[in-house]
Amino acid sequence: MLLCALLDGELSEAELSDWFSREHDLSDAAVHGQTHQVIGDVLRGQASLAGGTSARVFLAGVHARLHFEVRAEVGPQEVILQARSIEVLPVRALAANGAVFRWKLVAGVASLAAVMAVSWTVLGTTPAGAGPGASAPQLALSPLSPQDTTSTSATTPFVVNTRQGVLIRDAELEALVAKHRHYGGVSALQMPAGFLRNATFDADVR
Amino acid sequence: MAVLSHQPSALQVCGLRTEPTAAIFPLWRRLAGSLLLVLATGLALPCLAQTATAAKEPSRSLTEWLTRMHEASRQRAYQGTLVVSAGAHTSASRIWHVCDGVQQMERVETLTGAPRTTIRRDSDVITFAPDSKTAWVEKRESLGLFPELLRTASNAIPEHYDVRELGVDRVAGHLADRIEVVPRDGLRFGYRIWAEQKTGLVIKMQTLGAQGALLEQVAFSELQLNAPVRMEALKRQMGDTRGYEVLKLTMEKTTAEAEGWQLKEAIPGFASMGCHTKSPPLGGAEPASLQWVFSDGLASVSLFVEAFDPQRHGPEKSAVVGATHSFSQRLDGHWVTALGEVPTATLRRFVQSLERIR
Repeated sequence: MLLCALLDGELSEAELSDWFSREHDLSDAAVHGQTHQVIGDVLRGQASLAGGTSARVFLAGVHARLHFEVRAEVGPQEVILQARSIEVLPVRALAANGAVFRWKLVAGVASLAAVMAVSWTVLGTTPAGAGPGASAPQLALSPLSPQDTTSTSATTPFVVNTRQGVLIRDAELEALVAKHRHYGGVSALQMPAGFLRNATFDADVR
Repeated sequence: MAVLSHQPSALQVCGLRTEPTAAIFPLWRRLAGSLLLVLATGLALPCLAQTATAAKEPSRSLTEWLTRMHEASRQRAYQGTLVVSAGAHTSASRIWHVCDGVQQMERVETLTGAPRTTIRRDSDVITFAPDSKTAWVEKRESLGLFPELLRTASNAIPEHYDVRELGVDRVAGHLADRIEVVPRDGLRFGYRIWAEQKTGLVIKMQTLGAQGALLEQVAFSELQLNAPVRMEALKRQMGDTRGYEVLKLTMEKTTAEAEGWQLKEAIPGFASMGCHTKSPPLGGAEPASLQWVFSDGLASVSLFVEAFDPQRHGPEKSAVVGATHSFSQRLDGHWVTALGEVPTATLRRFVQSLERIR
């Protein structure tokens, strides 16, 4: 009966401690437990009399797992030794044609050719800029064209982020940017993206 | 000679490897063949890919794409969160958009930086600043220029930009057509645009510099199409200025010629879109007295002209924030600043082309 109460979650802590302090035949307890489970399933109309994992199998699994974890805690040195012994083993077996020099030569030249071909391809497509390759990130590339090079040195960002928020380095320029966005935003992209962009962006700059 | 020519074939038959010339010669021949094959494959693949890209005609012209994007915002209600990022700088806002077939209304509430609420009804815009209890009222005529301008013969956008269709992506939970608007010269930037597949609504846009470098990005991080946005509620919010000081921003229209300025040389693709003077300050300072606006249909440039002040102005300078670049230079007794979403070289050409005619 105590076992039934335990399975139903109705056993108090004191009763549970008392039950564990006494000696029991666990095999009998397991049988009682399984019987209780089957009766419960039948009463609930979920009977699977032959199916499911039996309590014995479940307990055996728990024991095996406990045994394994205890071994893992007790024997770390053993594990390390095993790992070291694995390191001694060769990583790869030699290829069947490994001893033949000309195959190594062929492999080397083929690798070189492949690298050259890929490099050629990459170098050949990058200058296209606006082509399909341009969708890839190009963080290292300067956004300025060669014509811009003369002014690059003088070009500075005038909005800076600080812990207190966004600070404007040049208040007059800020006013011009605000005017440009209000009165100068003449673009087919102005609606809706441009207007929303300006209304969103202006608040920080203003 | 007869012996030498006979040796290789005899050794090949026997399968011997002791004679180097006999064994390596066919090996090198095979090797050279492999090398050529690899190189040819490496070179041919990109060529084939480029040919395929070039051969694929876009399903819509650039004008059709731009018109579709415009119409999408005129016929849909939506709400979402918009993120604008330029370098390390990021801004975000909450968007509500609604239309009734005649009018469009929009509410933009910033989520970063100073709190601002901007409400637009067609070209009429009001911006509330709760921290200073100020409301700016203005009319932005530029908002009404498109898409009518796209339908006229003066639409020169396709002369300066090309369009490529790059397939379909998923953005903010929506399938979107990805297109690239490629400039035909170095005077302007390119754009990569994601337009929602069913409606054509722009849900992401990138401004690209030289070599395809990303300068700025505008994108919805979350978007709900056909959202229950009520126009009446937005109208009520737009008219409720209680507790706010209302400032009306107006501009006096003029012409560059009337102000004594002209361009010695036209900048290819850019047409004058208007000129005005004595507009009230927006940023607390009043440095400019003249603003001359140009556009090539997608990019716009403002030329600001003011009197040269040695206390404030010095040698030429340039600056950049996101896709917006600026270039300033002294011109006789004036200080000229060109500012817009174009490369610095284009701005330099604008400034250096400007001349005083009286």
